[in-house]
Amino acid sequence: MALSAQKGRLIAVIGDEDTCTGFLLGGIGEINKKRESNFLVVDKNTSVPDIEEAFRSFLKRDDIAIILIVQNVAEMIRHVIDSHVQPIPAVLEIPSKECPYDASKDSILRRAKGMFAAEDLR
Amino acid sequence: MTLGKKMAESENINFTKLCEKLDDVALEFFNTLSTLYEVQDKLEETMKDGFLNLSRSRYSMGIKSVSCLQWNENNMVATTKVCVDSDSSCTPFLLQENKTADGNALYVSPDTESTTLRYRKAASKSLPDDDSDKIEDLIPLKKMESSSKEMTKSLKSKDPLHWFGVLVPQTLRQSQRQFQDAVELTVTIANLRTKLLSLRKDYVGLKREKKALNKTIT
Repeated sequence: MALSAQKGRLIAVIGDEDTCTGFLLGGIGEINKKRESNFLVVDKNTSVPDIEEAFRSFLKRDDIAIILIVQNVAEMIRHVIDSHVQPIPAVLEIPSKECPYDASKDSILRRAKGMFAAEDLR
Repeated sequence: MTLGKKMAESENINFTKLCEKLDDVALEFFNTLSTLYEVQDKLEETMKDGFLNLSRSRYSMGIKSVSCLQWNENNMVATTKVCVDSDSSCTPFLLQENKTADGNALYVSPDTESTTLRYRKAASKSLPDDDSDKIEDLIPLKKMESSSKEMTKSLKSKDPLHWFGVLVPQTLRQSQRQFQDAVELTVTIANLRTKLLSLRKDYVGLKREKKALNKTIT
């Protein structure tokens, strides 16, 4: 199938209010006919199971290609992110307003670095 | 030369080629990794500027004027989408930027808009001779504009910037531009990560091959 003929997929975002406002301002927000949104605002009242559920529902949706998740929220559901190994949807950890991005915490980069074990280099 | 000696020599050549291939993949991997770190830094910078401009616009518009309460949840349509090419292992994600479901551009660039308006005004007045052919060229463009006037109107209503009012401060526009750039950068990062994982797969495969060949040589 030609790339141009394909239907565009969405970018989902999980993060604090400002991150969501920014990315929605960037034009990625959508609420479909079933009233399902592609974003989740995480505040102090949002529980970890809620975040986990939203993340799993984004993984299941076939109209989502990339999931952006703020790194400090990603830390809360690290086990779920680590268990996702499929290339699509791609899960990207982004910096938040409060916490800068730390590459050593990133699931994919940790996985990629793991291929160079010390014994291989001997 | 005996047959055994010949076979050992060809195996040695194969082994050297495999080692070179392995080195190439490792180098490519580190190059991609350094590019990824650069783009990550760029994303962090862009988002930082975006947050700062968002705070500035909140300062000038009022605390409650830039929050989730302004989001238009009744008619929220994504203007930026991603095309997925699952066959490509290096760049599977392609940004479908600023386009609505109809495939029309949402934002009219300010340069084009101002130029057309200037020509329209000039057309009604007397003009020097060298400008006349420019106006002739613009007539079909003008017709096209009038026919797509309604369409542009509906497209503009989908601009998320309008959730926050009609006359929004410049800082909010800048913030929007920065977050649009951030979206572009995230797509680049997604592509680089996919490339990284595919290189990792190649490396592991080649390493296994090398081990097997090493055993046969020794």
